[in-house]
Amino acid sequence: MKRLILVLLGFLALNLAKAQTSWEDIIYLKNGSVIRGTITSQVPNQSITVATNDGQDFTFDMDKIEKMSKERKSEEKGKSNKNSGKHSIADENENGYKPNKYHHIIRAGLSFSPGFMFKQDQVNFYVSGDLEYYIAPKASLVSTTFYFLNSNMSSSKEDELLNQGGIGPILKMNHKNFTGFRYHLLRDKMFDPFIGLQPGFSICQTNDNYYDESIRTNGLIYSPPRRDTRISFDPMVSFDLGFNVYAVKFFHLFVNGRYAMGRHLGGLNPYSLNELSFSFGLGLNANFWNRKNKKQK
Amino acid sequence: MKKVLLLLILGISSMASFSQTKEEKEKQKPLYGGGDFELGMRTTGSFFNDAGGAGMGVGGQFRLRIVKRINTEWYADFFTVNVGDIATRKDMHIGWSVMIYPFNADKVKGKFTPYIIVGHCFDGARVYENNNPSNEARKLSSAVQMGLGTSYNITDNFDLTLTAQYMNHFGKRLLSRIEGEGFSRTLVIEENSKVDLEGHLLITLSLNVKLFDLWK
Repeated sequence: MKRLILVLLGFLALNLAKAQTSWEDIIYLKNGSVIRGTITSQVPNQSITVATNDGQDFTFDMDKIEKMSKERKSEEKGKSNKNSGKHSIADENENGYKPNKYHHIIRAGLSFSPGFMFKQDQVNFYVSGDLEYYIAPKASLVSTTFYFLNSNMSSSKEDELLNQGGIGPILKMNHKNFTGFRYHLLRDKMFDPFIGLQPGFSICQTNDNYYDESIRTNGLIYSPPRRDTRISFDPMVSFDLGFNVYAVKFFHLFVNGRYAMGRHLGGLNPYSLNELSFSFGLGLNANFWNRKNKKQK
Repeated sequence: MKKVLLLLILGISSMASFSQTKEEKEKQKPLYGGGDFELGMRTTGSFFNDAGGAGMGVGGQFRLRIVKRINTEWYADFFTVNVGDIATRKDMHIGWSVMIYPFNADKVKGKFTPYIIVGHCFDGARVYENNNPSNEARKLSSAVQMGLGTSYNITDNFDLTLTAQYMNHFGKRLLSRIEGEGFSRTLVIEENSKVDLEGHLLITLSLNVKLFDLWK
């Protein structure tokens, strides 16, 4: 019986030892960094010192710390995740995955954008600006606004319309906003291609002939046109693809093509707002993650 | 000796309870898995409505997950429908839905989360002739909707969702038809005096991002 107790005690001790070695302290800093290791000393309300798994000691002020926790060692977690077949960003972080250098980046760009309406044989010009935030290494939220400047119609189409006794229809205003997401095909690369889907809307007005009631009774007898001045809010949806090139610290090159679909329905005649637009230029980016990591080093 | 063994068993069982993971403890809470607050944009197609054409809409929503398998969605949509090229119908929906996840309720990157959706909304509609906007009719009604959908989790906190649901409005119907030909076409609006059902199919594509956990 003594042997049995000894075996049990030995087994217990082994389990305890295993349990002790399989936990680690995790320090989440306010700048987003995650430090793993063992807390070796702590000055209450002032600082803590952590010995990382690779043998280095780091001291952090308490006001820089978001939270602390104790978790199973990442290798074991990795094993369990591998076994379960699940894979997530959160797991990757816990497994020591270092988010890529574009994670948490904010980028913005401003550009002149031509837009082509093939159905109307018309080219529109916009000033476009976009603001994008990478919520994950391969996904970002983006909002793009197009400010309508002018519209140009091919001379043949214009003649055709004049022959019909009209002035338009031609766009007088077509300010647009699209807000949605982009999926980035590569991670942690200087060359950053993406595809995106963004619902949006247009604030639209057309230069349209406005016939009065006589047109109904007199058929095609033309009455002097009045301009349709109604402004409408028209739902739209757009798909975009393009790429960014992050060449230097605060600047990047962006190229973007977008196909937007919608229909202006507030005016006299329905008007297709389907349009292929392009924008390219130099954008600004701020990478808070990288900057703070460097400071730490 | 028996006492020693009993003590050992008690000791081991107490250690086992201490080694219960944080996740296991969380699972015992009544509102386990809830609290996620999400914000999103949506684009919606409206089909088989009384105006006769397919409509397109844009809107937004927020979601508040009550427990792991039950979520709620609160939304607003604006639609426009072209009625035979001479008239326009505009609809505004404000409502809420309950989403029930029968399986795959956890949001895991790269996985689908299917759901059943049931809800209620208020609708304001206006139909008018483009050339003569005074020829118009308006109505307010309430509606119920139900359908199926699935979210594709692009990341743990970000999803793309496709939903198909049938919405049935309770109230007076706003029936419109076009009479005449060519330039003499005109819109004739019939407003039913009786309370009737008016339904349409809605296909919604939305993007949602989890902002925070309200229960924490």
